[in-house]
Amino acid sequence: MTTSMVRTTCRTAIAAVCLCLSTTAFADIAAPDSPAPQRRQAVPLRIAEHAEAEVHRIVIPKAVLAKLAGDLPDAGSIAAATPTRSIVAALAVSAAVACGLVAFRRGRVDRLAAVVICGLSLAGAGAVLLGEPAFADLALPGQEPRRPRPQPVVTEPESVTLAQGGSVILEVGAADGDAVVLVVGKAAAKPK
Amino acid sequence: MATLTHPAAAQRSATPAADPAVTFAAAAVAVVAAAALLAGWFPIGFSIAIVFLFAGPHNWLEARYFMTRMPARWGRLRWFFTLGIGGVVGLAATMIAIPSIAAALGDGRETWLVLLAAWNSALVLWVAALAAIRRRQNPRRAWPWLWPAAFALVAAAWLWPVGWSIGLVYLHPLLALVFLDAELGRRRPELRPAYRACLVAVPAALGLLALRLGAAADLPGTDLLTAQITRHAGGGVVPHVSTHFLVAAHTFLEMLHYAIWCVALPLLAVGGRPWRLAGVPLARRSAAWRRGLTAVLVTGSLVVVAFWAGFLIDYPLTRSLYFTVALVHVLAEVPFLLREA
Repeated sequence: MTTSMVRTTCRTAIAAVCLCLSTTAFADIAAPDSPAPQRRQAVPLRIAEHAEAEVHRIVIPKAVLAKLAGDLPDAGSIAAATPTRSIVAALAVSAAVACGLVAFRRGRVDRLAAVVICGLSLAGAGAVLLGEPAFADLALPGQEPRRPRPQPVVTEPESVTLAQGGSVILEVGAADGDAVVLVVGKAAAKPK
Repeated sequence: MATLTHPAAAQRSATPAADPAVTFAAAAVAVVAAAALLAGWFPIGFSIAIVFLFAGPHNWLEARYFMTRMPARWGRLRWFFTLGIGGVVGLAATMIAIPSIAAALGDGRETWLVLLAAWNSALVLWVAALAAIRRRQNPRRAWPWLWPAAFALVAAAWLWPVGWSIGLVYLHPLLALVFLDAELGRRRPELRPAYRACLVAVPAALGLLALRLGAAADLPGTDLLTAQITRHAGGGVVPHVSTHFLVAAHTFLEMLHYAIWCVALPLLAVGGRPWRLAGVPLARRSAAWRRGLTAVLVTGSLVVVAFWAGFLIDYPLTRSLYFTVALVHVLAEVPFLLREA
């Protein structure tokens, strides 16, 4: 492969990366005049009592949270990178590619390195376009676990007395289920 | 003239001395194995114990090590160290101010993510700028990939700000391994091959922890401290992975970090009496510098004692405070790490 072929390949790859990223930068902007309908949902509630828990917890199954999030008007902004972050990321990638091109033209990067960098850039852009990494900053609600894991055992209640007020920890349960679980910590301090 | 030798002495002299490299490798592997086992079996308890014991002292010893590595006169490293120290102060102050800035801007989730991404970008650009200064000082450091890699990291910081920050939490303990490698190369090069061979034990231990705990039940504790430790390791953020593994892996890496900074590097570089400033170039600069460095060490000792007292009085609060302040030492490692390059 001649030097000019390598350069042409690199330029084509860089142009392709820039084009791909320019589309993703605006991909998650909501279409105008299409407000999502707001609905109220009834969700089953289960109350459990934990003898040693020092705080009360509300455990929302992932499936329920995903359903609720899907009904929110700005559900897209919860799951995806917003336009601001997407645009800055796209600008940064463009700067990375431009710097790489400058280094290559100055002859600081050898041919093999240039091909490797372009390949990685294309692979990264492909991964972004294929979807999940671009829209899956960690803790994405609604993602199904690959392997179900056993969860800590929560004892069933005999009787539950809820204090007025106080604080509660909200968490998303890893286990599947359709009921929100209110875990009442018996060892929790009562609100003053 | 014939000489008489005691039989026991003769036996001792006949016994070959242990190879230092073998002894060193055995000790290193033992530390890795013990840390992995304890972190896997008692993740929360082990985390509480090592943070209580080593968090403060390792900062003090790290500061003492950096004194040893700081040249008396900066010369052509003037801009490098000026930017380094300025960046440490500025980035630490900004991170501490982020909650207030977020509150002033509305405290929304997106505000937090943008602020986090902006801070991470500033960190990357600061490191890249320091590396660029180092690059100019020696033709050996061509580093043509520096800015492309930096901007690619900035892009990742904006696309995945939370994941990026969790990555930093796990990356930071590993930097100690690089410092130890550099120090061995400088002072005990004969041990370096054994050390590098032992490094395989780290991913091996992490792999075993992942195999054993990756699909285990989440840690059952519901108290504030457990929640705090779990969240620090990425619990509730990293999907599909047991919090048992996350805490065990993070605690394991932290233990290695503490072992290197509290034992290995002081023995190699600082000497048996770290409170003495004999080997510190800055202390030889003038009496005022010597007094200043002594004051820093004394103040640092008082802070360590204060942290121990704080941990005894209110562990969760002190832990939060510590990990906020500890950002300074995380950042301070960067310029000294680049000096090794």
